[in-house]
Amino acid sequence: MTTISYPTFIRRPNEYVSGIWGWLTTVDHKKIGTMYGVTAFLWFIVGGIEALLIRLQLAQPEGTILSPEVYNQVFTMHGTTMIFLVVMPLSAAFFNWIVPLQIGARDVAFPRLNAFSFWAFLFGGILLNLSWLTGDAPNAGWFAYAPNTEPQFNPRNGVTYWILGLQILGIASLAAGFNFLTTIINMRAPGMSFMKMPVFIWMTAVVNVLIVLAFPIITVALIQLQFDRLYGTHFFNPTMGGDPVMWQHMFWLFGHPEVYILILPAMGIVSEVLPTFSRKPIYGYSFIVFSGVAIGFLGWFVWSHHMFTVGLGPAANAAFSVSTMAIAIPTGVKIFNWIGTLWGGSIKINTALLFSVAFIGMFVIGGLSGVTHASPPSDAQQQDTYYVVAHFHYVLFGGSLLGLWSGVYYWWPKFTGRFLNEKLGLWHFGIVFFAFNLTFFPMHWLGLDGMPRRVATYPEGMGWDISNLVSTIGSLMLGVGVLVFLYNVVYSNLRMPKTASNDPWDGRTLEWSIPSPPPHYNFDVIPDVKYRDDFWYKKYPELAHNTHGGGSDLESQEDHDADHADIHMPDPSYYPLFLGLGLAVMLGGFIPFTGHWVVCAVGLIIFIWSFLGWSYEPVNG
Amino acid sequence: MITKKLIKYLSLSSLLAIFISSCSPHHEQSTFTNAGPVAQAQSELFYLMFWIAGIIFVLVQGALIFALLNFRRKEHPIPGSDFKLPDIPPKQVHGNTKLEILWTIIPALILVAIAVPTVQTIYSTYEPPEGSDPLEIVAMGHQWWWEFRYPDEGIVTANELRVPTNRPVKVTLQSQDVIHSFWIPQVAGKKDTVPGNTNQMWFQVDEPGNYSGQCAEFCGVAHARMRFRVIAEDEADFNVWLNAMKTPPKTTSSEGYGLFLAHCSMCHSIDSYMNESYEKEITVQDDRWADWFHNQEESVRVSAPNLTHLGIRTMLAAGQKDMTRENLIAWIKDPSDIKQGTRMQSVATVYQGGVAKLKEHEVEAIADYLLSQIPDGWGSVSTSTESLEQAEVMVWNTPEEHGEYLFVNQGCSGCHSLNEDEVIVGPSMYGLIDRSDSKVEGLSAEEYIYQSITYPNEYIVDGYAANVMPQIFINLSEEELNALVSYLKTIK
Repeated sequence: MTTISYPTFIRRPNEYVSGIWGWLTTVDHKKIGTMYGVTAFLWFIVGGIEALLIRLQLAQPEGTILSPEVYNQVFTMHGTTMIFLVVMPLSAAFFNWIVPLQIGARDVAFPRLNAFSFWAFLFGGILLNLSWLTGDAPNAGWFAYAPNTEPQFNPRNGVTYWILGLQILGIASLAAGFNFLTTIINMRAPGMSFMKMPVFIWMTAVVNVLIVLAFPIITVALIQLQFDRLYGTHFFNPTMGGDPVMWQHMFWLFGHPEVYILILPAMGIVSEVLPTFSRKPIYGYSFIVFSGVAIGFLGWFVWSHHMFTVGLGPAANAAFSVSTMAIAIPTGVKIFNWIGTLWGGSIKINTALLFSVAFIGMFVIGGLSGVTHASPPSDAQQQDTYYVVAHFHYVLFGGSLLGLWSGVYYWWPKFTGRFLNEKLGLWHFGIVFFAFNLTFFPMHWLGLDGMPRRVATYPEGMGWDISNLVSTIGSLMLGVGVLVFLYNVVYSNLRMPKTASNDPWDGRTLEWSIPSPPPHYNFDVIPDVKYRDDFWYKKYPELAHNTHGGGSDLESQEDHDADHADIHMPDPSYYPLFLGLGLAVMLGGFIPFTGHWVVCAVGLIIFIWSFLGWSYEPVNG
Repeated sequence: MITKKLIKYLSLSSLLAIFISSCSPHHEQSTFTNAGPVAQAQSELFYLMFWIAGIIFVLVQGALIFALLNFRRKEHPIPGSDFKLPDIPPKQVHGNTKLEILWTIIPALILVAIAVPTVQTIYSTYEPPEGSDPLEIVAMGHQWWWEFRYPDEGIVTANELRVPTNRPVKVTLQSQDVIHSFWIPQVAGKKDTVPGNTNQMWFQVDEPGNYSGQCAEFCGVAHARMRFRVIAEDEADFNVWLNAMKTPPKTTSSEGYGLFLAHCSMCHSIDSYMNESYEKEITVQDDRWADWFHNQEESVRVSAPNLTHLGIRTMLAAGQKDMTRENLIAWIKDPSDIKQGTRMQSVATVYQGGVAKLKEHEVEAIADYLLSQIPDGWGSVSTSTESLEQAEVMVWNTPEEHGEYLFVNQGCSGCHSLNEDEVIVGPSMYGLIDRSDSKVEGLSAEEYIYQSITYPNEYIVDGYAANVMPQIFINLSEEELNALVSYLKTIK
């Protein structure tokens, strides 16, 4: 075979390098998943400190801990951080770790692109938070309503940091979205038809369809806003004929699917945890799958329920009200099926299961309060009040985060070979569950009692003092709960032996058929899938009678040739790191500080260089 | 068992309802205390959903907790060993299509039961009842205060909206700057003021009283400080107010008046009682805004609350403080101390770089002047009139001397320097007489100066903006105007 010589920029590491270089050049979905998880948790600490600052400021009337300007920066960054730097990447951590393992693949479809997604996310988050160092953090809310973000009202650089940081995070998400979709569509083990995929894989697929379709909208809107701010266009400037309501439409056309991007991964996790610890299949598999698909689909027709008070007129409000209520139906179906899964099961109560059950309970509260502002006349009193703050924290904290924590406890032995300490886990759960409700339940009352959100302070004598104080106490307890979790992670990994077997929970899906932690190549032999919950029925063949999703015709297929020597894994690469870095430096160079074009040019050079290097990178061995 | 729980819950929530109804009257922005039909209709919808949601909440959480407790795994310890024997896998149930259909259809029906009254209420609360005679007002959101216009009455006021009871009020919602949201929780749900768009809403107040309102859409640094008050009065009292607002204030030649004209009048109008003043105020407000919007670095004015008859208002700084002399003095001295971010301090020249560059007694004089702005015959509001009583009859030896007094006393000196090439806000008066006869064809120097005082917009000197100078000096007597002209001629 003739050797083709490629222009090599950096020699490709041709072995599975260990140590720091191993992490920097890795294209292994498991290592990338770990990096996503660790990074997102660090941002969670940052976002949590911002949350505590908000609560301390509001603990009593006329609080003076933060100036109004700093308060606005803190609440803007709290929302932006929690959504884009915590919940989304935490979900991505699970996608990375679990998707290949559950579908019986050795990696994702585009391993280098996967690494690039992580690095772009990391550098995008850093760029966004660099704004703190300049004293000009974004200050216009995570929703950045024009014209408050137009240069006349917001001349400093905060919002520009926000725009460009989000653009980078969007690129990271889009790359990951295409990657996981391709992986799920193309790389399932033989025999795993769509209707035999675990529910978590289904929810991942729906989420990534939403990402792929929703992020381009915010990308365009952000470009328009950037041009308004930096280059004198007037897309959203009403004084010059622009339309600020257009920003709202575009933002929420992205923003509402984004809500489901945040919640569906947790729903997928819960749909794995409940069957395992009930030792029963998920109840109503096809209904739970299609209700997830329906939520993702209907999510495109409800964006204007964020805009009931904007003045779109009664017809629009009525239409979006009805479409919004319709989403409650598939959501309800999911909840009933989860309860159906528990019903008649053999339920092992542990931290992972409790987090999943709490997810259902809290999500029900968030869902029900959601219906009360799906009705525009009722919403006219609730819009932009603490009632809404309560609602979406019940969905995103009580929902997403509790679900993600459930996944952490559930899959931790698979990730590390070690269990998280169960006693500390129960303390973690108990404190978080109690403190969460203490923090956010009074906010329902505050909102209905007329307290608007995004206020840096409030006067005495409004009747809001006690509820706010209770909420602040709850938030401090939440901080303690998070510290317990952190201690558990450190303690369990330094002090506990690697005792986790392949299948510590008597699991149902393919990831439990391989060692904990899995080898680099995941599967010695790519499994043949015959059933939904294939691994479970391989363990308990006597239970496989009358199984829905069974009856595969795999027996008639030829046996797959399992040649261990043939395992081919992608090589590590430096370029994803540099491509992510180049992208962030280049876009960061658009922020108009002195000499920014030089920074932009440097970023462009890194970007092009790593782009070419990536393209010409040879395949080793 | 479920019925037992339901009963328990219902009794619990009726306790909650008692709690709500007993506590909320003290809470001025409670959405549970409905003071008008719009808030009432919105509340009814909320209650409907609240009870349905409450029942669903109990059933679902009950089923969840029941399942969790009832179907716990029973593990059998192996005697003499640490190990436990897991129980055998339960029956592998995969689902039940009938049940699935049932729990799809029932929620759908419940939602129809909510959606139908929702759509009805959307339409029924959209416009005032047919055949009613609504009072039309315009509510303008500004960073960070509210302007209220009564187009049919020709009245402009700020931060305090007076409305009659038992009569629909139709509100046209606008904004000059960013998006705000107009919200009086006890009276009606909110609606946004969107720059470039005009929104409509209506409300009606049943009982006389004060109702607290607040901006509900994040609008920048002082968003939390953007409040207002609705004062509802029965028709007769409301008409008294309307008529009072159309009367001129007590005339005064106090020091405070001059200081006000010099330092405040570029932005704050005080003459909404005059003919044509409504149209003028709207034009001027737009000019002030455009001035600031397009030239923030140099603009000396920005849109600001109309202060006509300020003495009868009950609150100041957009609902931040009660209207007392003490508070007003504190506000004038250092507005940011009360409302951080206010443009009053960042734009007005008198505040350049900090607190007001005024002496203690000057601030007091302005406050006293403003508090004295009470229409004749307005009842019970008492204010300090100390500095007004000082007004005494003055005798002038020459018109120039009288003019010099007026130049300071009417505030001219706040904007016009007497030194060559010094610009405070308007052109310097130095050497005025030498350049005046050539400005406008057909006008002598004296006639030009006279016209510039009485109708400042007739001729604008290059490099200066129209509408900056108050158009209020036409109220001066002929003698005073001539005295001013005589004085200005002497400045060389």
